[in-house]
Amino acid sequence: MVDDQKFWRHRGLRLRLKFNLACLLFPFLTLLPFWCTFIAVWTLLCRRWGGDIAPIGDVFYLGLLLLAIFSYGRGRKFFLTEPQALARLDECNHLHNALTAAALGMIPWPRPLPAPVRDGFSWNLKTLCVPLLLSICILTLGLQLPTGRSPGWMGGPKEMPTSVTLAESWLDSLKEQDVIEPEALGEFQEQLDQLKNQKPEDWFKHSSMEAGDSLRQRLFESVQSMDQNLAQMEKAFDNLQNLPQPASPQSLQALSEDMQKALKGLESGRLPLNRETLSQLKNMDPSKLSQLSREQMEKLSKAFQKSGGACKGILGKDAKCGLNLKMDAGGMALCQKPGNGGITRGRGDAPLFFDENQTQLGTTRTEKLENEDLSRATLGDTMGVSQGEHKIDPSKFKGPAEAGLISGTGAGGEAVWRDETTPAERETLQKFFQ
Amino acid sequence: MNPLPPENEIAQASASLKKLRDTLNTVLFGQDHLVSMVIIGLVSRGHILLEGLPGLGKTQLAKGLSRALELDFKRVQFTPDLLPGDITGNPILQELSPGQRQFVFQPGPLFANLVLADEINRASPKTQSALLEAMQEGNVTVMGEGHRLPQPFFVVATQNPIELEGTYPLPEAQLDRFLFKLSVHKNDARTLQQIISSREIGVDPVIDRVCSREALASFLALARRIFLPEVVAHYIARLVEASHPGLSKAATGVKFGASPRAALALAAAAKSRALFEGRSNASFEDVRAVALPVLEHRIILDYTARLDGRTTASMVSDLLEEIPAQSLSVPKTLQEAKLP
Repeated sequence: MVDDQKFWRHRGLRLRLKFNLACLLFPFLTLLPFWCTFIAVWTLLCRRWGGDIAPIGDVFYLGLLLLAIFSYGRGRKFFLTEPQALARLDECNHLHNALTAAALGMIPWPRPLPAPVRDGFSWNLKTLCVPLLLSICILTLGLQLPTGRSPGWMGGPKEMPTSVTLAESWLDSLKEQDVIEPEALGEFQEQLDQLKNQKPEDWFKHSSMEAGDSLRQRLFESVQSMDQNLAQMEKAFDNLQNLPQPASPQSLQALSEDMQKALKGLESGRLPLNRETLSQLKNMDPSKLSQLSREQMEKLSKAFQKSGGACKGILGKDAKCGLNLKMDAGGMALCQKPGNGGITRGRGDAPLFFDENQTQLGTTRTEKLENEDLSRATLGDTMGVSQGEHKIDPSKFKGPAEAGLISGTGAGGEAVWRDETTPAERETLQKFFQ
Repeated sequence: MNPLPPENEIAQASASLKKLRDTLNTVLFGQDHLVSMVIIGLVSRGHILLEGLPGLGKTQLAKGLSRALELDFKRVQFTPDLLPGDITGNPILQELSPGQRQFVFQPGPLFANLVLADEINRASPKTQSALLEAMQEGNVTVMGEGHRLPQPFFVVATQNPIELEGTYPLPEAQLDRFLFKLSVHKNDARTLQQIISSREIGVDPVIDRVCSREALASFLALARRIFLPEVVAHYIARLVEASHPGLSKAATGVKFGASPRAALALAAAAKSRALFEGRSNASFEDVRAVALPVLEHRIILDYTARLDGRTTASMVSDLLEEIPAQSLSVPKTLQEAKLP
């Protein structure tokens, strides 16, 4: 008897819990997507404009709590009472209202049913799952939807633009090498500091990016210019060393002029050499070069190597590319040579390009262009092309002479070095072959 | 609240009533449901209107009932020229002693426990109203003098759904006084064969007494003590309310809905059915079982519904389908499961 009562009251309680939970869930799930939409929009805005996302989580949970309280207030008037639950069990199990009467003490409690007790309700999975899944999707969108900001959007950007970091590393490198006049570096350093001291939110503004790129470009070009001047100086120095003794005054004069020209560039460029190195070079008299001891020569050679090394560290392995050395978008030095053209366009050496190695024509063997039938050659035809180093006998070099495009004249038997194209023409050709 | 009757009394009453049903089934073959409803109607102290074609056993049913219950039985064949006095009784001038005469009331056929009003719709409204007053009040008034009818008093009226020319259909207000309106359906071939095999024309079947008049009175008292749970009463109230136009979808086309008397009749009939089934409380199932005979003749359809071919019976069925036993606001997160 007591067991029967316990059984049916327990069944009634289970039904009440199920029904009342459903009453609670209905308004909750109805409003949940709207709340999640609000949170997702808020999250997106914070992500887009760099706001702090941390408080959103707390607000979200607080909102859920308020939503649950509201749902309770809304749903409680529909909650199932025990008499209603027992009447429902009566109806669904064809008990002829025995439970209702028994609960009032009118009749004894009926025996538990051998079959499972039915309550006539089943969960509406569509109504339950759709708002829930929708809410999850909305929240996921709010958290994952790209907003056009860098991944480190929380609290602004963490890293400075590449151009600024690259310029900074170059400046640091030049400072370590101690080959540049510190005052000259100070100008670049000041501009760099101005860029670095901006607010992180302004780092990636258009004007800042342009300023950073400009700084990097100027620094690169300055180093490139210094490298060329150093190369010219070193070349002149090498020639001076190799001059036969006694050297002709014209040769010494020409070398001296070359050195002075390079020295002027090193002194008046944006990145002048430091005073110590500069004074060493200035004090060097070509006529007395032969009188320098081996140690002095090595010292000078080291000075060149040190200065050149600083430039090579920035310009990279293609530093010897000379004027063809350009900086790509990533700040890397790139030796831009004419391309092959055609549908497989891209980097490559054009035929007949003067270089140390023979031009690669895409075949497996190295070829040499030459006109076999010289009798049919017309004016302007290429008579032949040779590769490799010019075997110049420096001992027979009488020094450079200005004669139009001819940079170097020689006596009979001497090779004549001629620049066939002006820099403008060379650039046009490069563009064409690219 | 009346104290609940002991279970053994209910069981005993239920057994007797079922025995009565079985006995009447030997008189009226193939009409088990009709017989049960007639018994339930009697236990509810209600009057019953039987509608059906001639020869289906309506009179035999009334006769059998009276014999099985040892009730005084009278039959009145209603005709257009039947006068109220013909059924209530008339004062007759009697000579008590020489020179001394006095009006003495001579009781009519209504003075019986069970009155069969055959073809009630053929009598004039005047006579009908006299009968209906007796049904409602339990007494008749003749020449200003009231005469109490014997108890229990039941009227089983019949009417023929055909040959309606020259009849006086019962007004709705008078129909409302009948607890049940039951339709007597024709028998199938198997039942007819059974009738042919066991009955002979012109010979009344032998019916044994099932219980005494006193026992019947105790059953009537017992039925009143059956417990009607509040949820069931609420269900009855909602059903009756929903029968009115505009208060439910099923009531579309209804001109007038059921009266509060219908609600009382539903409750009484549900309790009687519970007793018949041997239970001490009425239930939703009891209400559903008696809803059609209780409500069918109390609801009036408008002409559009009638033109559409709707009947009050179909309307009551729709009403039972539409109105749930419990008025629960089921949240959309739940759905009604299919129950066997």
